[in-house]
Amino acid sequence: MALWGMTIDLDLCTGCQACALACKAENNIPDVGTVDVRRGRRIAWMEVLVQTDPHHPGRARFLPRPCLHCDDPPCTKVCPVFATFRDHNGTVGQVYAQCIGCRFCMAACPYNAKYFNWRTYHDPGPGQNPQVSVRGKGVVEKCTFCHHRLLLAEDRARGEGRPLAPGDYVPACVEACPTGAITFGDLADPDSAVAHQARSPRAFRLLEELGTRPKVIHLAARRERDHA
Amino acid sequence: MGVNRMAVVPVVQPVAFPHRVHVDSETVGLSCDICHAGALTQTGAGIPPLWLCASCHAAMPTESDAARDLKAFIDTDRPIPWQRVWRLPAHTFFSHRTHTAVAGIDCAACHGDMASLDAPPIVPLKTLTMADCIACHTREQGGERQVDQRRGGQGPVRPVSASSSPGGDADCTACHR
Repeated sequence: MALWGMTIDLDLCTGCQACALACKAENNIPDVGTVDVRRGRRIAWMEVLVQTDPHHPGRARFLPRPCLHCDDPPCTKVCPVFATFRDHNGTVGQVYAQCIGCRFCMAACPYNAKYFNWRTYHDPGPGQNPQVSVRGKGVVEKCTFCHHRLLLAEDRARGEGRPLAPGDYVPACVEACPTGAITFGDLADPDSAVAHQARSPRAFRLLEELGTRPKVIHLAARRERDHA
Repeated sequence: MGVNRMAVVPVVQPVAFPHRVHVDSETVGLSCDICHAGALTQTGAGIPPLWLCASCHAAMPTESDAARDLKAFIDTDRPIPWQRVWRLPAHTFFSHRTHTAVAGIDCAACHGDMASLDAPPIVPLKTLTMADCIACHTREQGGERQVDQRRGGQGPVRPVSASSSPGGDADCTACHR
């Protein structure tokens, strides 16, 4: 059984936000409008966090942050209606039709990776991805590792009578990254590229000390060490 | 909670289409996907366009009332306003292709014995609730997921660390995405 995971090499990330944009287009993520953005209600399943340093103007560090798909997710434990759960492939899913909008999971997530629809920001229509629902008012949404792409890839592989091959299933952000900073694959397969990178001495997991065991693993930038 | 999304609304079709005559191997012997062209290849099975009916019926004698009704549509080149019988709630995703072409399930498994009908169905022959889907999917998986019975079997599905088997995987986000 697969254990889908991702590594993000911060050395290769240029902060171009192609991943964030690809995610928005793929997953029908709404533009919430300037008023709601000022209220901190922006929805961005893949968010590129930027850290600037006043002592080094013009230099910035970038940290792309999707849902980290924790192996021991804090958000699923607080959901009163089982709307969010860790599925058998290790991805943390969210069933919008089940969600009652209590936002307990948002409070529990230490990475702020879950987002609430404060309004009905858009309706289903042309130009949206028909494989993904358009969430209405009052539900929490999150990165799904483009789960619909896994289903399509599984269908294709099954139709061709072969097992799922590495590279069949790739989320939109991975596909869009121009520098190849994001690697996606099966962490349970020790020979996969992603598992290989996860064993790198540069690998670290965000807020590892909380014991959430994220399956999105960042690789520390060597550049920082060289310049220190 | 006042609206039952699975409520069955009886429908009357503009043409009394007999499935049996078209499907029965002794008469015409068509397979389902000849008219419902997307049944094997697409998410939606689809309904046949008028030209498909006309391709056979335009030159055929009109013996029955249904054939006469159809001829009227063909002669005036008006699309037939077929009424939808099988409905799924808007928050579910269902792919015909996955179930027919990939998994090899017979149409009748969900649609019932449509091939025996001499008139169009007024209501679906089988109910399609989440419990019906789960029943099939958990059976293949050895019943590893439990449907919470608190709300008459319609309650939340509690994922138990499931061992997935190809094609028999009750993955919540497969339908609710």
